[in-house]
Amino acid sequence: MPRSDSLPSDRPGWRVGVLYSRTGVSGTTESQHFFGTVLAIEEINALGGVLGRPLDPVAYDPRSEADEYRRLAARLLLEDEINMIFGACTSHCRKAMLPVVERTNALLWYASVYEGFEYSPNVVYTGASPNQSSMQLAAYLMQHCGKRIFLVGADYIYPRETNRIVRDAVEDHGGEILDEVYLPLGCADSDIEDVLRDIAGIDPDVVFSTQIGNDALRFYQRFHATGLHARRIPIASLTMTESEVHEIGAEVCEGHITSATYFNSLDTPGNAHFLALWHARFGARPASVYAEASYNQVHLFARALQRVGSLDTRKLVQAVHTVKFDSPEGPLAILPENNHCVLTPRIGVCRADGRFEVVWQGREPVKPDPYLTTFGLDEFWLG
Amino acid sequence: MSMDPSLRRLYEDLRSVAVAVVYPPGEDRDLLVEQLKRIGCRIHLAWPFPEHPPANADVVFFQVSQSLQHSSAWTASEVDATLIALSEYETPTTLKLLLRTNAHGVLTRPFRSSGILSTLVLARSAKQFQGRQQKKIEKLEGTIKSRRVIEKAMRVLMDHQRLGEREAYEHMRARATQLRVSVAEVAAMILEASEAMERLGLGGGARPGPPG
Repeated sequence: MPRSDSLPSDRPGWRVGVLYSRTGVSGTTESQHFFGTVLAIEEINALGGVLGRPLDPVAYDPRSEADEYRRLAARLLLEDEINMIFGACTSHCRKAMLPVVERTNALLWYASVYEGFEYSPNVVYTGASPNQSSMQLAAYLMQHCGKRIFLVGADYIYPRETNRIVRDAVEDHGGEILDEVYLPLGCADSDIEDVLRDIAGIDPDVVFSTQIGNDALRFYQRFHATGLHARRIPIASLTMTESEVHEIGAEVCEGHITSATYFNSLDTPGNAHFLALWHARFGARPASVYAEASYNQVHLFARALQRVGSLDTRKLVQAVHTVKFDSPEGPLAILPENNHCVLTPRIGVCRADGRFEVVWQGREPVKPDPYLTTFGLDEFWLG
Repeated sequence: MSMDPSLRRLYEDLRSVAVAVVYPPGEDRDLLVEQLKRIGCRIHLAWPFPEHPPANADVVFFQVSQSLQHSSAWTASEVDATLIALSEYETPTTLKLLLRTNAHGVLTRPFRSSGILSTLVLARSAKQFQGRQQKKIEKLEGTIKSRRVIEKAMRVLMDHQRLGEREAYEHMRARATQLRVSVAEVAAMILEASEAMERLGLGGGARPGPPG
């Protein structure tokens, strides 16, 4: 933990921007990002800040809107004269912020699982790439649920790109994609009903859903209400985590499958510490991978900052390549060649109590490969 | 909704593509090379500017600069690889040099990580398209040429063998099948023979002479 002898209060803080939506379609998910960020900042400041100076956050709510992300990122970087942003969850919002982040040579810390195929010297990516998430999930589904898969997602870049990858993986291994359906973000309930009718009719072995936020919550609720159950057709996802389950009730989610690098139920010293802090601060609310990854990246930032004593983007990025952090999910490192995080893929099945049973995890951490250069598929095949 | 197989090939190929980078060392080259590595390409570096295009490269990134006269020394027409120009300026003089290279794509300084993959994929696609067009043109040129030969041979047969147009063609076609060669090749044989007879002063010798 970064420590210093002098008290944080008597010196100006390290100003950082925090951009996570508390409202809008991905409000639930991004609130987890926000809480994880808050938890780490408060923890670090309670221990004396970094080099005797506290982290001094400025936070705005972009309301899950790409335009708001663009506007508020510009406000942080140009008007507030901040050059460090912890923010964004959905890919279209990250892409909306990138031009101003690069133009001002700022640094964006991005903590969500995403579809890969990006590298910016101005971004540190601490969430999972496809080779640390969707590839393993595709392999697991084929082996444990069946080869007839139904794809349903929100209509934007992350679902479309993720489905392209999953389709290739499934079809290359003798599986079949029965249908591939996209619904607009914030879709009508009747759209969801239509898809559920198709699913009930086609009767796939498993549904892979890349719907996000409130749309995903409504999808699981309607799925349950229609009388469909995970015993017959499980839904698999990269984003249905403990916080989403908490929102709609475990009975709706029991038996459904999620691929993530962190689950609340992990038994590690880092997680015990994290959850103790979390519950002291946020009560009974569960922490998901979104909170955890955000918590992790603030700690990685603080360690890098302690080394270089400056918010200079280039120096910080170089330093973050050299720091290690024993996170709740295990030891983390950022690869110098692509600024992405080394992570351990895991697959969990939701239990009746809303927590996840980890049914598979990688033998060792997997190097991020955002451009899928080793897309040989077989190496993603679960042993 | 399945991915277009040619698009898939175009993208998946990139992992095995041999890329030569002809550019002076420094930050700009590092940025380009690091991004190409992320994409999964095999990289070969060349500098100073080589006299001949790098051998065995599928794609050549090369500098186009006003200060470098030889950067236009080899162009797309003489290189089998996809050519992507790395342009220093956007001045008319540099643009003129750029045009002369017939490159399939261009990146302009300052380079950025994003955009390199798109340029690479599009340039390779353009190169493949050009290649297909070129083959088509060559085939069409060949067809026109053999057509001329066939027509000439038909005339020889019609003049000297008193065959009708259809008979002349049928004769060549039947022979071609028998000899397992193309009609154009039979036509060429006829023309050659006819020219040989001409040279020997036996013009029209193939024609049975009128009786005494």
